[in-house]
This record gives sequence, C-alpha cells and structure tokens, in this order.
Amino acid sequence: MKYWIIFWTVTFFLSLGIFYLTVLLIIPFGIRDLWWLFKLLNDRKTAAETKEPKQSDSSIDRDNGQ
Amino acid sequence: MNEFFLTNFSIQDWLIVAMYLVGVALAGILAHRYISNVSDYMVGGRGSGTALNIANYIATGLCLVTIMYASIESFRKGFSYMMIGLLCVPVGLFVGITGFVVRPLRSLQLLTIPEFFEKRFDKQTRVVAGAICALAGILNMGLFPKMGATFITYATGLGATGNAEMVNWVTSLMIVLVLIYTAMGGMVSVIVTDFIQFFILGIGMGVGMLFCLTHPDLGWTRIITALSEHRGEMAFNPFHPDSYGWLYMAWMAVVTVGATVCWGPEASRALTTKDEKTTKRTFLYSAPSALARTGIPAFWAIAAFCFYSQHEEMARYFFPDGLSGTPVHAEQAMPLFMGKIVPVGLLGVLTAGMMAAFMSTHSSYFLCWSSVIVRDVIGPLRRRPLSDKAQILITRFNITWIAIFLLVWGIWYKLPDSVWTYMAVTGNIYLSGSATILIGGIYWKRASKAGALAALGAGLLSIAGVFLEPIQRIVPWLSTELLGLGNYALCALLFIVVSLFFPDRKQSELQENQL
Repeated sequence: MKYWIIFWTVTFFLSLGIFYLTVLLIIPFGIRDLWWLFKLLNDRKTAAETKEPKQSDSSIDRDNGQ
Repeated sequence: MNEFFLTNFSIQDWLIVAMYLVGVALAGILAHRYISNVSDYMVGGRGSGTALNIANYIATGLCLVTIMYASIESFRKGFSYMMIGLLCVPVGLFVGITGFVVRPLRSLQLLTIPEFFEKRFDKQTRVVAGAICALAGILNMGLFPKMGATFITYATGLGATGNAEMVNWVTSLMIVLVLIYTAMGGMVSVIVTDFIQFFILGIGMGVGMLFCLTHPDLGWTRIITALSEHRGEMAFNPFHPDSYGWLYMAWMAVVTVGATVCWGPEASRALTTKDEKTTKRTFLYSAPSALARTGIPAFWAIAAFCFYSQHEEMARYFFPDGLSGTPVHAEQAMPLFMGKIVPVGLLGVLTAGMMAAFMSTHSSYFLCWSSVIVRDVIGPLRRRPLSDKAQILITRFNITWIAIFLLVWGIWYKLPDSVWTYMAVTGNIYLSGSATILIGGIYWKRASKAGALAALGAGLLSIAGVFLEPIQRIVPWLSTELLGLGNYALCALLFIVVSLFFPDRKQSELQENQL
C-alpha cells in the first residue's frame, strides 16, 4: 500500500500541475484563436453575401453533387 | 428544515451564478451572427486553432455527470478510481503523436463521424451507424440532468429546505439556455461558450482544490491517513480484489480507446480544426492533464470522506455499517461537502464552474446528435439532397426535441439509481460496433460492408447490460465488465470473419487508396 500511496501522490500532483499549466497557456492563445476564428467567419460571410451563397464544403456532399 | 444539509451558499452566490448564466447565454446567442453555411454551423467553419480546440475538447469531455460519477466512485473506492483517468493519458498521447484514426478523419473533411462509413462502405452502413449513434448518444445523456440537479441540490443547501422543485426549475433553465444558444449559433456558439466555460471551470476546480488542501480538518496527509486507516489497500490499488480488478480495468482500457477516437462529441473535435496538424496537437496536448480532469473531483470526494470521518452524525449517515463498510447516499457526499467547506462568494464561483461543466457538455452533445440525425439518417434516405438552409433548420428542430426529451426523461422522470451501468451500457451500444468498424475501415483493406453491418448489429447486444440483474439470476457469473469486454470482442470477431467470408464486390475509392 505504501508504494501505491507514493505513486498516487506523485502522479496526482504532477497531473494537477500539468492541468493548470495547460489552463494558463490556453487562455491567451485561445483568445487569439477565437479572434482569428471570428475574423475568418466574418470574411467568409462577407464574401458569401457579395457573391452567390456558399454550399457545404464537406467532401461527401461534393461526391453527392450537393 | 434539516440543518444537516445546510451549506454556506448564500444570496451573493446566487448572484454570481445568475451573472454567469446571463453572460454565457448572451455570448452564445451573439455568436450566431457568424453563421453563413452548414459547415460553419456544424464544425465552426473548420477554423479552430490548437489552443481553442484543446479548451473545447476539455470542456466537452469534462461534464458535470463525469464530475459527479468520479466523486461517487471515489467516495466508494478512493484513489483506485483515478486509474480510469490515468488510462486516458497514454491513449491520448498515442493518438496525438501518431494521428491514429483522427488524422485520416480530418483529411477527409467530414462533418460527422458516420459520414466516413458511407465513403468507406456504403450509404446503408452510414444510416445504420448514424441511427445507432444518435440513439445511444441521446440515451446516454438521460442521466445528465439528474446528476446536475443532485449537485445543485446539495451544494446550494436546497436539500435542507426539501425544495426539490426549485432544483428542477434551475436545471430546466440551464437546459433551455443551452438549447437557445446552440440552436441559434451551432458550433460557433458551442466553441465560444465552451471556451468561457473552460475558464470558469478551471477557476471553480482550483477553488475546490485549494480548500481541500488548506482546510484545518483536511490537508493531503490527513486525507491519506484517514483513507488508509478506514478503507485499506482497496482504496489505492485498483487491481485489488475488493476494488475494480484486472478485468474491469481491461474493459476500461478498451472503452477509453474506443471513446477517444469514436465518441461523437469529443471525436468530432478532430473535425473542427483548421488542419490535420492541429487535430493531432489537440489530442497530444490535452492528454497529459487527463488524469487531473477526473482526479480533481475524485479527490474532492476522498477529502469528503476524511471530513465526514471526523463528524459522527455525518459518518453514520453516509456509512451506516461503519467507515470501512459500503457507503450510502454517495451522490450527495461531494456536493454537500463542498457546500460546507467553501466560503460565501467562492462557493458561487465553484457552482458556476460546475454549471459551466453541465452546459458545455450539453451544447456539444445537442449539436453532435442533431447533426448526425440530419446528415447521416435523414439526408441519405432522401432522394434529393437537403439544402444548407434545410439542414440547419432540421438540426435546430432536432436540438429542440432532444432538449424536451431530456427535460422529461432526465429531470421530471425518476430514473433507476445505477448511474454507471446506465452510462457504460448506453455508450457501448454505439462504441463497441462503431469503434471496431472505424478502426478496421481505416487500417484494414479487406474490411467489407457486410462485416461492418454485422459488427454494428453485435454492438446492439450491449442493451442486455440494462437488464443485467434478471440475466444474472440465470447466468450468475456474467458481470458488467465481462459483458462489456465480451461485446467488443464479439464485434471485432464478427467484423473480421464476416468481412473475410463476404468481401465487397466493388471496392470503394477509399479502399483502393487505403488511408
């Protein structure tokens, strides 16, 4: 049991540290990605409104002639 | 009023929760302005970067039912439960490094997982897989609202007033808010709200951990000592005969692989990224923290055990046969404990975090199953293809009826108490067959549509797990884990044998250029 306790102590705190490091790193980069996504969608929407409506880009829809 | 169930939750905490609910709903609703076609609606225009996709992946996978289930299991079996979370680490790393299954799926530019089955096998396989996927997925959600309501009842102290209907109204409100923003903005709203919820959830979990480790009656050493004294080795060693055992862990390893690559809401994150590299990175970078995601709520329940062991009345309530015996009311233990140790104000932040976990999963699940019904069941059965507008309209209608089903089935209807059996069985109905044919379809050239249909059919046998108790009266040696593991083995066996005996007459384009 002693080894299991050591195992869980090390593993749990290591994982906890990695989790919060991930959270801290993701927040600034996530905001950047979100801004980039909005810009992409907005550009696509503007392009779709000025040209003909864009259909699905799914490969299976293209195969089915949709 | 029963003082036993009183917590620190106050009007300030309700205000924090209300502010969170209004803020997240507004953000979700405003995001609908960015939708211009069905790809934007179903996969967020495939524009998600690595960090955003990881946040979404984590927020989707970490639902309140996972938190509740982790706490129930750990209250009974201590640290042993964390081994299930630990299994996700090597699986996620493997998928992230090699791109196993997820890279080929992303390269095909699909909107749903069952679309792959039409490209690789035929339309019939896609429709059958889609129907089973939606059925299993919606049934799997059945317990989500009940578990959410249980957390709110005991963390907020509503359990003390016996005002059960108030809890149902709060849970219903959350489902309605998710329904509104998901139906309006599709995946774009899901991505935006999941990101906010990831942040709130991270803070909420941190608050919980802080008080478990710093409370004068608790702390790491005290918690470990209490657990080892009263529960013994089974609380630390998952392979101990009184704990889960080898067979159960083997079943969980198989389920983890299947769920990582094939369970719709999470696996569909492989499809929302801007490129294949981002898909691989999502799985690679989110894998190392997989243990903490289930380990944190599990640790709260272990800390709850330590706390209750020091209070005679509470120890008697949760452990009528003594602290080494089987616990009762395990689902109430963690929320009640958090409500008692976290102070006013921060308890509102913690509860908002748990509500974030509840809502982020619901939004992804609503969209995933609704999209599958439209794209993989209704669409292929029609002679004329559906327009983008029609697909979005039908998806919105589907989201609405799934939400109504949840409200009736999950909150107002009393479900059986066996949480895990219900979750595992409903998940297995789809996973055992679909994961087999997905992996086989990508990596085995001789896989045929007859084999795929046989495996999907065999997966339906998992429904037997729902009626396991009466079956066990006739076959006493049949356990849940044996049935679950056996079902995967049967699916794989049938898939291989039937594919060899009934090969496809005409090879699909994918078969010819095997990925």
